[in-house]
Amino acid sequence: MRLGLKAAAVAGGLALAVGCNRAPAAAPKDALQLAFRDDGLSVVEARGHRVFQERCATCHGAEGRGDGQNAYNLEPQPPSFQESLAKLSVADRRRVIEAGTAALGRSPLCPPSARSLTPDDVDALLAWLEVAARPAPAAPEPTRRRRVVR
Amino acid sequence: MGPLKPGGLGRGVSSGLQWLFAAVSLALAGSVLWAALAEYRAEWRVTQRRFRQVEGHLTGAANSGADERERPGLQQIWLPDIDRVDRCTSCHLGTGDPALKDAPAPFRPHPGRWLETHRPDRFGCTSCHGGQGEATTFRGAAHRQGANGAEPVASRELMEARCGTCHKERSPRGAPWLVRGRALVADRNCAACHELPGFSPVADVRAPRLDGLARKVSPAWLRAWLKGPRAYLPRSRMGDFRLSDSDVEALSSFLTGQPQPIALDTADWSKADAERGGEVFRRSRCVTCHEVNGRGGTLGPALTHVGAKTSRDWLYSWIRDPHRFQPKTLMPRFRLTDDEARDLAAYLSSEFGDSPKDFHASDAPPAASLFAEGRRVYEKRGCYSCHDLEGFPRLARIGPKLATVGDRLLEPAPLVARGLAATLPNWIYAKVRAPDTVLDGARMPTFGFSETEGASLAVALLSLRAREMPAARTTQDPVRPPYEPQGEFGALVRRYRCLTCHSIQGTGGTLSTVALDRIGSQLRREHIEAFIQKPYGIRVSLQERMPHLNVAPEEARVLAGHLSTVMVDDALEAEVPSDAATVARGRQLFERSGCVACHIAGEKGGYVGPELNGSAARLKPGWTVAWLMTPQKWKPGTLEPDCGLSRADAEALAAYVLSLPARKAKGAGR
Repeated sequence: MRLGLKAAAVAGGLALAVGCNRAPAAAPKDALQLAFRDDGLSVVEARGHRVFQERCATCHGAEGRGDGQNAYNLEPQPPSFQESLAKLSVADRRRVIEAGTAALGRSPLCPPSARSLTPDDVDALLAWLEVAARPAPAAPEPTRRRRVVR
Repeated sequence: MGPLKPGGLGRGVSSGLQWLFAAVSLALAGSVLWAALAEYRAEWRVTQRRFRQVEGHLTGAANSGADERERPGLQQIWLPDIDRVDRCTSCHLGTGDPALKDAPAPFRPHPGRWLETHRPDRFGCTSCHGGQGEATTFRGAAHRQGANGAEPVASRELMEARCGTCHKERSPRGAPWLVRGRALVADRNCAACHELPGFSPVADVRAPRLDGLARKVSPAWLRAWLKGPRAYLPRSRMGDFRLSDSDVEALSSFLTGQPQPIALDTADWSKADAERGGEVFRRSRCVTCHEVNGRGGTLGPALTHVGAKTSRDWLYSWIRDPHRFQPKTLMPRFRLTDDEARDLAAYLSSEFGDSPKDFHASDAPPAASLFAEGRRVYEKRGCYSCHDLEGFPRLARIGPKLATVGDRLLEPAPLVARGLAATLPNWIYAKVRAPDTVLDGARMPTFGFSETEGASLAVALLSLRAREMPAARTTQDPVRPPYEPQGEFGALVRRYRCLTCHSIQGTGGTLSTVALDRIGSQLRREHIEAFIQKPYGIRVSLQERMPHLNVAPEEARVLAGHLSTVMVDDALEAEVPSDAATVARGRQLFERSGCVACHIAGEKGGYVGPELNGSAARLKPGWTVAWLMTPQKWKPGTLEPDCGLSRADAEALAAYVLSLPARKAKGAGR
């Protein structure tokens, strides 16, 4: 009798598990949205990431880990944002972007960009730096629900 | 019960009517109450009450007074000229209030500065975001998905398609998927088969002429190619037409049966030296345009298996003069001696002679009896759209018009059958990547687009809508007549195909980052003349280098002469002071500005920008000053920082840079 109950419970559990597993598989796949490879970034953060990859990644690396192709030519070398950025206030980050590292009295290797970027680009860059400063994984987990209207 | 018990006739009937009346009255009262309650609890009212709480919480009690925002009521932006009624701001109440930046989802201010350039009172919300603007509920507005085909609110990427409905230029800023998609539409010559507003067909540039095919390739190669081009060229620009074996046979018969108008040159192959040919191959920098074993450029076809495709004679003839076979090809006519061309052909034949895996077919000559059937296939599949063939007319475009493809009526069944979300973006994405899976009997070939390419194309195509903004609110690229170089200079520009990579007055390629419009004021004439004859890598990190075309000295003189006298900007012609004090001040500026992060000066420096040692032999001083003052003006997107230098500072910096001596060993000799 107890065995029967157990078996029923296991079977029920299995059925439930199968049912649960099936449910998402049956949902229609938005293949295009998957091809966009949701990086979990908002519109502004994504723009910041693009600006970063265009203008900064040569030295700082595509994700800001300090491993750009030109990094090894530099003395001092660019740091990894995950380790260093937290020490820099948002106001100081803005100063570095706009007026270069020289504005903070550091080495002058990171150039000023105030005239090369639009104010929107600078805001977007700052927004993405928030993401880059987070400890790994740099981007939020992809399972998070997409923010459609931000 | 008393009043309900009157005596007399029809008592039962009357009592029944009374009951009915009572019930109806109650139902009416109930429905009135319900309607009032429903109106009170309408989604947008509940949201507005929640907004009040959030706003009070975030901005403090000071703001709790009865201002005009106390009861915002149903909001709407009515734009009769573009036929829009957008009620989005009934719930999105904080769009213009930066103080609410930490508010929860529907109440946050609009990010960025987009609203400054796209004022809501001119464009509404749905012009950019999509969705159902008239709705007053979350579901009705189609935030997640639209009911019955109603257009939903666009995701971050699909919003770029909406950018593209008004921004018709080829590369709108800030829309990377759209820019990639439009570049792909142009590059893959989609307009050859489809009518696409803003794109014109380009024939005879990349698709080879098909006359004389029998002398170029073997029947086995032709059959295997027609059956699956990507087995030979993984990045083939020609799609896989999914031809049946009988169609392949017929098409092979038709193509090999064409006349052979151009006689091939032959060489004495016993004297060929493949090793010397390899030197020519490397020296000429063929890999700038041609991929070999997975590395190299993409302007021309990959050469990894070229020896298995064409005969030595054909390669030799083509290298000697590609323009004879393909008048508009992108490939320059290198100035090689006959021996060099022969050795190069021998090298290509032997070094790249292996046939790709899974690329086999019968080598028997196709039956001539299938010629007429082959012509029918050629016509039916629209081969003439890209290829030229003597005597074959360029017929009407074979594909459907795509001018309003973004409004296409969706046939959901094929998507549903494949477990895909039944939306138009998904359908277009599936169609461009695998046409036959969502459309029975599709004639469009499978181009093998990657996921990213397919998604980019979907965004570009979805930007083609029937409903458009008034022309005054759209933007497009300026129309410029194509530049046609003339005279002796023009003949050389065409021979060496300078405009495959460089551009003049907006005409030409983009591989070179140097437009030639004012090159004569940027660079010294002697440098131009020497560089054309013996190009070298000025920027170390740049992979694409100018090919070594073997331009003859007198040709280089003509080219440099024209560039230095015609392609100039008088405003850039100026001298800079070169006294010791100015140079010293320039040196200070140089060190203070961190120029060595990107430029090699002396022994040290980065690999991003050009080496600066010996730049006086290259750069003109007036240009150097102008460049340092406003680099983005001359080359949008350049990494060179705009430090906001004054003219005096820029002159001092230029004086220092131009004073740097050339390094001894490297530089000139490369």
